[in-house]
Amino acid sequence: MIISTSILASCKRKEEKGYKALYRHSLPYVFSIVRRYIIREEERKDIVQEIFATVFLRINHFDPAKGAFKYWLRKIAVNQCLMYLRKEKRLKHLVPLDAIDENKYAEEMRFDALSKTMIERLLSKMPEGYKTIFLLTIIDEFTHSEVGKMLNISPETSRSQLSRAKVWIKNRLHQDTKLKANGLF
Amino acid sequence: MDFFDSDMKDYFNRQSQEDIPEGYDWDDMKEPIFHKMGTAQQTAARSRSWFRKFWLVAPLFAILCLATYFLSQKSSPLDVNDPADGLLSEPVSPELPLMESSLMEKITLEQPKEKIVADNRKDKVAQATTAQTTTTKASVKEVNQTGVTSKATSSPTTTFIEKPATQSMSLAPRRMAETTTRSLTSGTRQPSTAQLETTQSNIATNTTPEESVPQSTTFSEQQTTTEKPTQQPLESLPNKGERPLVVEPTKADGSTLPKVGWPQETETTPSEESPSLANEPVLRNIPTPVPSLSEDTVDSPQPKTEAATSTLPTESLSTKAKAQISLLLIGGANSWTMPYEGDNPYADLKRETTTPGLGWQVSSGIRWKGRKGFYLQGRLTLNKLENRFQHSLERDTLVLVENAHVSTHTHGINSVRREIYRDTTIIGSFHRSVEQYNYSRLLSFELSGGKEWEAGRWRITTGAGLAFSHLHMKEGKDLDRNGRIYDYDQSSARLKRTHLSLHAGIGVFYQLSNKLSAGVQSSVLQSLNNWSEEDGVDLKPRINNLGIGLRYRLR
Repeated sequence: MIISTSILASCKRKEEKGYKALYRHSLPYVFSIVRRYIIREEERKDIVQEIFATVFLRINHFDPAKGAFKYWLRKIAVNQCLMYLRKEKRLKHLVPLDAIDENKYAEEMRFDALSKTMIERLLSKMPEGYKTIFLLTIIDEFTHSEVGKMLNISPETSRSQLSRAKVWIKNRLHQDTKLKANGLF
Repeated sequence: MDFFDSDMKDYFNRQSQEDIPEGYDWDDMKEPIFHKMGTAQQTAARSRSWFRKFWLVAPLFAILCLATYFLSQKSSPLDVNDPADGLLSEPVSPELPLMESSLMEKITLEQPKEKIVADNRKDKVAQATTAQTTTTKASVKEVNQTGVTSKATSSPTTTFIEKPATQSMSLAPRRMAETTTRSLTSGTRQPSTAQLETTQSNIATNTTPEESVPQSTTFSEQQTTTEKPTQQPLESLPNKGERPLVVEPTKADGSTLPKVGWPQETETTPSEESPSLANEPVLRNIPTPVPSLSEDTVDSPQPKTEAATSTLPTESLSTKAKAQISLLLIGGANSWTMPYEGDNPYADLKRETTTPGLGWQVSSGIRWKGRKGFYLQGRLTLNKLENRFQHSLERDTLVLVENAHVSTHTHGINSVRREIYRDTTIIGSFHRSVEQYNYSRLLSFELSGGKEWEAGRWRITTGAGLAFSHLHMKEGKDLDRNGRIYDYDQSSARLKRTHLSLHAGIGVFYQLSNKLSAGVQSSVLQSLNNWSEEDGVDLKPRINNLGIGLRYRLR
């Protein structure tokens, strides 16, 4: 996603054609972020609107010297998603330790090709806290310090939750594989 | 995480237009997005507004608290104008001998110490309100002077009427209290003839028992209070725990009436008579002046007051009660804020292009200062306000050239030359940057009230009120709703001319002489109404002034 400076300048002048161009160029990227965090389709639209409203209002705060527009937009989008999840009280970062048996499937597993359906199933089943930290660190590539600041937790907590999220995914994939082998899935 | 990194990331990071469901077109999303922008702006403006209000009110509240604190500190018993209060609350040394004379008659009082303290407090209240009557629950035995007069001939002890203490502050009871105190503590002082005559005249005038009760109340209270620490002499008194009051008969006319008087102020100092008395701080406080309270309450021929004989200047005391009229002249710098608010994008545009600057201010006014430091002030202020208009524009422009020569074709065979003309659009972009300093003048009439505190030569002034302002705009540049720069003048400027504002200020003045003071004053002018004439744009500027100036007291 590359946004030209002329579009940004037009947005800074609060011109509607600039808003329109920015929206069209960045919607796929914004939507890909929203889709990760917000499962329900009917909620995504509202979040997208919130994100673009914030972007248009704060476009004057964007400083190209501090980074590309994409990362600035990503941060706003992720923050809006997290705010929404917090508001809905769906974001619980900490999952109890006894919820997962970490040693059960400790061996390394490799899945060469995850189908789209499988990924979506994984995400829909994943606890919200795991999913958020997993998406923030693995997919959006935020550091644990950044995740800690966003979620108001310590970086160590973020690390440990990510570790458990990985184990959870392994367990889940293992179960699905077994079910698939038995012809039940 | 390499086992699913690739798949997951590919899945999540795919950004194809096909994945976006229907209903996400700009035309569908435009209105909700703009609506959310407006809501967010309103919320931000509201929070900013509360923030500003807080910072406007909080300093004023803090100043008020500080002022109240200092005021309460200043009104401690020894610091108030009336030294009698200080005398009342000051203990008397228990070592001082109590002289009993055959000419003296004892008056015993039964008043608990706790009640005495309460009465003393009430005494101060009554003093502050001059001649106010207060009924206390304390059972105080009071001297009925009529009773004293009639019975003194036959009995060495005077008669008391027990009634709720009704306090009426006048000079006479204070004098009596002082005299009694001195008699009790030193026992060596004798009232002068003149003072005794004065006392007699007070008693001989139409002094009803009701009128004399307050005197007796104060008399008894002070007498009892001053004797509170004197434990040693109490044991020698007939009734343990009771306080003696000494009333001396007159020597001038030989009357048997008990005369209550006070020693002359020009008598020898206590140190000349009694060394122990000289070390006593209470008695050193005695010759301090008495305020003009006596003028309000005593109609009968006045005794020679201590204030009159005091070496301290009485002018400063008397001027406190009189109204003061002063002229003010202040000049300094100002800065102002132009908070363009509203859900209109034009407000954002105005906010971005306008930067308030530093200006100057002159003001002149008149102040009427009443009692207790409260004052009313009318002030005319001229503020020169400055703001910088800065706008840079980068815009693509389409220029249509009609019937422009586009190309020329030459036929290869017959060499016929053919020129092609067509309407052509030329796209160009330009950059324009405009910077202009705009000036305006704001003439305000401020009507405020406040309070002034005195600390030596320093005067701390706080006040608040309303201001009526008129704005005069000079020529300048501004941006219209279409984003175009236009020149305005007094008639075409889209700002309202008259405004109502809230005015608050604080100042510190140093008294250079009796009439002239110099100081620093800071004030805030917060507009209460909208200056802007544009729809959807809210502008309530705040002007902060800091100036130095002079204050001259006319009378």
